[in-house]
Amino acid sequence: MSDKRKTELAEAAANQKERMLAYYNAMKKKVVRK
Amino acid sequence: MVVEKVSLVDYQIVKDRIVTKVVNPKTTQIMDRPHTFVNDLAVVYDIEMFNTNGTRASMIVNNQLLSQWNISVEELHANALVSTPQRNAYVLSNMDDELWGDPVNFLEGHDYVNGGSMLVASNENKIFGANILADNMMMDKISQIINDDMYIIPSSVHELLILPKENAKDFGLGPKDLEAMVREVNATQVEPHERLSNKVYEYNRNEKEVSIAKETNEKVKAMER
Repeated sequence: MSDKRKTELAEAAANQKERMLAYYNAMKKKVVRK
Repeated sequence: MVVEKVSLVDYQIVKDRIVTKVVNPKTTQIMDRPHTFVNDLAVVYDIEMFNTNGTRASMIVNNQLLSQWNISVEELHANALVSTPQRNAYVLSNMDDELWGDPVNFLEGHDYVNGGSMLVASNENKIFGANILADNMMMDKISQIINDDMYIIPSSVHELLILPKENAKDFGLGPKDLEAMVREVNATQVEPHERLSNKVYEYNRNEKEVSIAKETNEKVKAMER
């Protein structure tokens, strides 16, 4: 695998994780769950 | 708030209020409650009093109550699968739309657009929406809508994250990568009492069942491109 491809995949994975983190963080504030 | 009085021992009166809840039997006591396993997670049942504006009141269905009702766990489960979405409709939406835009519910006939990311499967109130996992017909419907097999990430009891396998392949993400992400998200963003699982599951359209995701050669394929 080329270095370019490795970088692309690492960026894609990091992007997905950031979205997940953002989603859960947003949900904590958006919904009061009891 | 006025709470309508209901007779809990009369099954015919409460049956429309019985809803499913998916829990992790390793962290939730289920032995005194009727339950149905979905892989290593368990479906338990609540009698829901109300569920509005982010506030929910319910009572658990325990074995004693089931005995008084004189019904089987199978009947309880089948009934709960019907009443659950009637009380709080299931929703499938793009995660990015939930965050930044105007989410539409693909389960209600909106054309599915692959947003290139994950989807959120929950309910309108976003409370205990991971219970959609209990409904295998809904899992099948989701896979039909996205026209793909899918990874299911039940990190919180309130929703499932759905990642179409084609998207996972594009990102070079396999179950182990996703599991590492889930562990971090759970540890940093999800309250302990709302965590459901650190595992990643999958739904295969041919097998039509939820199973714990196995590492496949998809990541290898992505790396070879």
